[in-house]
Amino acid sequence: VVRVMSTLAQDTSAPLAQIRREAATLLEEMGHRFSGIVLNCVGALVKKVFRRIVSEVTVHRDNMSALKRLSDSKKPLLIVPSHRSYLDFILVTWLLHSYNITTPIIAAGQDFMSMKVVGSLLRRCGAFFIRRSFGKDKLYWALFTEYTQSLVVRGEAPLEFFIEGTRSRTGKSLQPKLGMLTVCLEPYFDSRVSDISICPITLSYEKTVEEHLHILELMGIPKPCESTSGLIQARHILNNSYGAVDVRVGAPMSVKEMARGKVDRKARSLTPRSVSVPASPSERTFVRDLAHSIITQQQSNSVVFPCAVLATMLLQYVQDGQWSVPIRQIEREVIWSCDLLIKLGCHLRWDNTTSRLDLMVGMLSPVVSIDSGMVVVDQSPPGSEFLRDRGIEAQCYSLISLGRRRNEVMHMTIHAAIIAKVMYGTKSRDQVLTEYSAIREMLAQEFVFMCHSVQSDFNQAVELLCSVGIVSEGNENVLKFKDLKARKFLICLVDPFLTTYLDSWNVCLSSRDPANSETLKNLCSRIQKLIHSQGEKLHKFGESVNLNVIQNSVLSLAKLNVLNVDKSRKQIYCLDSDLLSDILNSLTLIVRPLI
Amino acid sequence: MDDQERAFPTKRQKSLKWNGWGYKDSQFLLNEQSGVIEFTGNRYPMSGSALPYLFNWFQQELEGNIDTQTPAQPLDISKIPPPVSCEKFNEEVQQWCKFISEDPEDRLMHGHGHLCEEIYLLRNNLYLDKRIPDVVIYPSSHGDVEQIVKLANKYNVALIPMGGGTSVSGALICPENETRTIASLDMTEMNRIHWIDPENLVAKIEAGIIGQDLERRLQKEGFTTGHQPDSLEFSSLGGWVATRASGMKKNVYGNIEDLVIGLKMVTSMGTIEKSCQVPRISSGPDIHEIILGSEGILGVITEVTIKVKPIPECTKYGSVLFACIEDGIDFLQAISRQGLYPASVRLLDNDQLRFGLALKSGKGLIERFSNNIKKIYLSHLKGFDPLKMVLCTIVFEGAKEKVHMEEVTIMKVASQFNGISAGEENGKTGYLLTFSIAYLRDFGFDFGYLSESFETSVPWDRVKDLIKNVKENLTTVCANLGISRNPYCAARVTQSYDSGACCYFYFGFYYGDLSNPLEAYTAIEESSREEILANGGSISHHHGVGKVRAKFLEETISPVGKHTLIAIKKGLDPQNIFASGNIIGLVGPTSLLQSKL
Repeated sequence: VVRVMSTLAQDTSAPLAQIRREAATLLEEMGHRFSGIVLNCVGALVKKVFRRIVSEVTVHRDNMSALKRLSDSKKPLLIVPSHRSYLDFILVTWLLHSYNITTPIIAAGQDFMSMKVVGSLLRRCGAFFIRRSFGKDKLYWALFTEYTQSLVVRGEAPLEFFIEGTRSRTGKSLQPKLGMLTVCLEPYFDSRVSDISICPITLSYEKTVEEHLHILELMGIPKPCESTSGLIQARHILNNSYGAVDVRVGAPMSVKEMARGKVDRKARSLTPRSVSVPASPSERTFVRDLAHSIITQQQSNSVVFPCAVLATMLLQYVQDGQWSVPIRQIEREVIWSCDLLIKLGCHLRWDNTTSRLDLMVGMLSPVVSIDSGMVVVDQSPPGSEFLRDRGIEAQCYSLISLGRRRNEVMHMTIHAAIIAKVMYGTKSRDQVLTEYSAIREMLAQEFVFMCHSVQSDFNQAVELLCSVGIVSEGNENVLKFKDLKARKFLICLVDPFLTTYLDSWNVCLSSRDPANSETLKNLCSRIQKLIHSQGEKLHKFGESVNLNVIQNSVLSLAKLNVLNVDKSRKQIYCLDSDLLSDILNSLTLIVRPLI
Repeated sequence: MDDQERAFPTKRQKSLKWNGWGYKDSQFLLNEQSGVIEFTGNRYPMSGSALPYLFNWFQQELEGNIDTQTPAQPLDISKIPPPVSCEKFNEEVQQWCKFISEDPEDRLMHGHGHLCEEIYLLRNNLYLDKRIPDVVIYPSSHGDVEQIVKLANKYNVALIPMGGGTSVSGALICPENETRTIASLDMTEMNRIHWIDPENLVAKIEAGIIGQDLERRLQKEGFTTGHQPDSLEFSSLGGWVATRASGMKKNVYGNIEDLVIGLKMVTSMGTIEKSCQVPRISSGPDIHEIILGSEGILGVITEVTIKVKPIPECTKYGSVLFACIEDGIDFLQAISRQGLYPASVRLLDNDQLRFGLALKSGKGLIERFSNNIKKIYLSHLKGFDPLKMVLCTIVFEGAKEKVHMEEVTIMKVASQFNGISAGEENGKTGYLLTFSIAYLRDFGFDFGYLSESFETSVPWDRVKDLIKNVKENLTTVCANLGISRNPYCAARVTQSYDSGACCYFYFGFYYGDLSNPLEAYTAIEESSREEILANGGSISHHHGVGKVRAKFLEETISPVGKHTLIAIKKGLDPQNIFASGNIIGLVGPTSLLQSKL
């Protein structure tokens, strides 16, 4: 920091003292002020609130003692929860507190800081605030790095942050943000600490409190700013029930073990400590892979609630044009697909409360209701009136709402779903693998895949499908589906994404002047409008108007080198139309016309 | 020279242990009735005294238990395999050199150093089916050695030179797959001081002389080399050169490479030496640098011309307590920045300090040591956490005025780091204990503990982290290996340089619940070395590479660097007569240590 300050002083010819003052202000803005008393008071309040809005919080004790040992040992420990709701960090802190584990220092977005009273309360519960983007502010970067790393190195309390960077609006895991993780791991690369432990935590909600706002955001209606008055206005939340929450602590990982043979720490010993070294290629690769395995672990500990299965089934009916289903029928379907999901490795939360159809429907309200023996998906649910201004049809609200819930079952089924999609006719295992990896590459922005595990993920998924009798492997390694109902179920999971991607890419291909540049946001909302205006598919897929999916589809074009994205200005330019039409052609061959 | 005057006789097993450290008459023994550990014999300041607190320390810190004893097995000499004799070689050697032995005890004594693994195998009679030398030859002059090396080349006999046998790198282990006759060259008969030159302050000495004999005899003439490695009692001058030894007082006298003026080494190609004894020379890459640290793979060091100094007018000890190790290290760095180098400065970390306190006995210096600490602690140091504070011990040496001045300046610097003088006695005791502490490992063996020391050198900016990380890593590795009791790990900073320091670690762990103790030991040692390297530390500061650290050589000196050493080896010793396989010979752990167990 001292070095950065003196370079800055030279570069800007400002007096060092002034820069020092600036730094002090920034630190003041960042720092936490942990206080046990405040934590206890807030804890009591939180408990009350939770009692009111959540029917139960289930905490799995597995790994809890390992976590306690790690935190007691005062060695560096990162706690990395999944992020679906603002309740996440409140729950984690409260949970650790009640298990007598040192409560973590939490890296929080600066949005909260501006909230009156609440901001300083959070500070006293151990939160410190970082700006969402500070790309070129060297002083801020230096202070942030130093502050964060000193928290890691001193190890007095665990450091908690969200690797997804922000709450996932879609129910799917987001692509990991690597910045914070890189900063946290640097003390290990530098050998300032001998190891760092990472403990992923998964929080699964039957229903998140932010659902309504997130649905609107996905369609392009911005979220309101975090403010205390907003929070008070949001007190109506207290009158609703959000069902159950399931918390699972993942097995702690040792960075040292994971980095064995991948990162040579010795390489940094030729540079003195006082000279900062940018992360080497091997370190960056390691951070990315580690981030992916953290997310993978979070996913494997995620819990599927039956209401999400109900949403999945209802969407499949809607895709066939059927907006209401008899209770008996849907009940059978839900039980059948729950059974299938368990076979495919999902943790299903099936108990007296979660498994009652009326309660499931309640968790999907206001989008789904029961009306004279039928389970009905509302085509213009309350809340959808916000869409009118953007010219989006009301039914999209329902589709996106159900889609978010369906996404919760996708973590564990995506590989099987892609395989189901490409497996038609007689194809050998090798051919299926090739096509699987092509689709996987296409969706790499949408789902979190480990970079080097194409083969092993594929094999695992095929073995699993074979072992539960859905797929069989015949002569000459020809793979064949035995269970056609399961096949349709799986295809319906992945179809909305594939269709939206292809539509969006076609829009890019047909409507763009390759010379001009355009902002990412503009392009996405243009695509959204164009797809919407084609109209016919809307009855099937909410994803077609889901800006998040559209944005991912554009970003994945960047990965495929079809276009360039300037990250800092969020500009899109240089579309390679020939390459894109090649890619589209080859994909259309793989993805048979939709069912 | 008369055997009476020597550290140990030609047949060293007459006075030295065959399966442990040092003299037979000196050892730590537990008096089971009183629960007090005693140190036997009369050679050391601690000898003959009871140590009432030591066993308590052992029980509390290491969870030691009187019920889990693992006594050493008696030597079963009949099991030592017969030698692979080369009759003609033996006959011809005997024309030059009358001391030659195929006695199984002699062979066993020359087949190992003092690595923890070697001693463990010896104690459990597991060394008996290892490859050991087939014949031991005791040359008594440079000429003898030249003839022996010639004959070895003629009859293709492998040679492993040996001095005091205190190696802790596996350097004396015979390669398991060596099918030729292996001859150990015991150099300790070559112990003459050819001359002392008081004008130029150098002395020419045969390489086999043992450290304590060299010092005693030089001191009779009013001189000293000032070279004091912790193994001084048993290690030899030639051994120091062959391993790049470091002495406690290197700040005043220099390490071995600074002390050496002339060297003679017999190689398969003949003798390598310089024709002048000058303070410095520019003659291309220095051939001394090839001999220093060659660990017996290039030839036999026979004569050393070494700097000597008049015995200093005054030697004074001092000690300073610091609140925590960070303060202590900052102090060391500060004095070396100011160019203040008293003869020796050592920093004992808290674990080491508490161990030192446990060594107090009912009499003499040691008793006062502990009382002083207590007194100071109570009167001045309230606020010093006894579980955090560290002790720095200092030796001043030289003219009285210089010593006085140094002492005043250093205490002033110490006070800047909130250090508080803990008196002269505490400093002195620390150094006097050095030699007897080496006997503790055998006591540990008796109660199911494996222990070892290792060392490294590291730049100043990484010293603190290295010590912390190595200790932490060791605890983690032990836990992962399923070692139930607390492992012990203590650190000290033993040498300061302008750009860094030497860190020394002791570690010990209970092996009673392990099916393969040596495998665990190797895992711990290698993991520690990896951690050291990752922290910017070196492969070794003064113990050398030998066989146990050979696998880390290439990454330390680059593939081209290793290739250079191999080229030199091939050029000097095409038949691989000096076949110990140290440094570059075996990559990976030695087959000896892995097999069988």
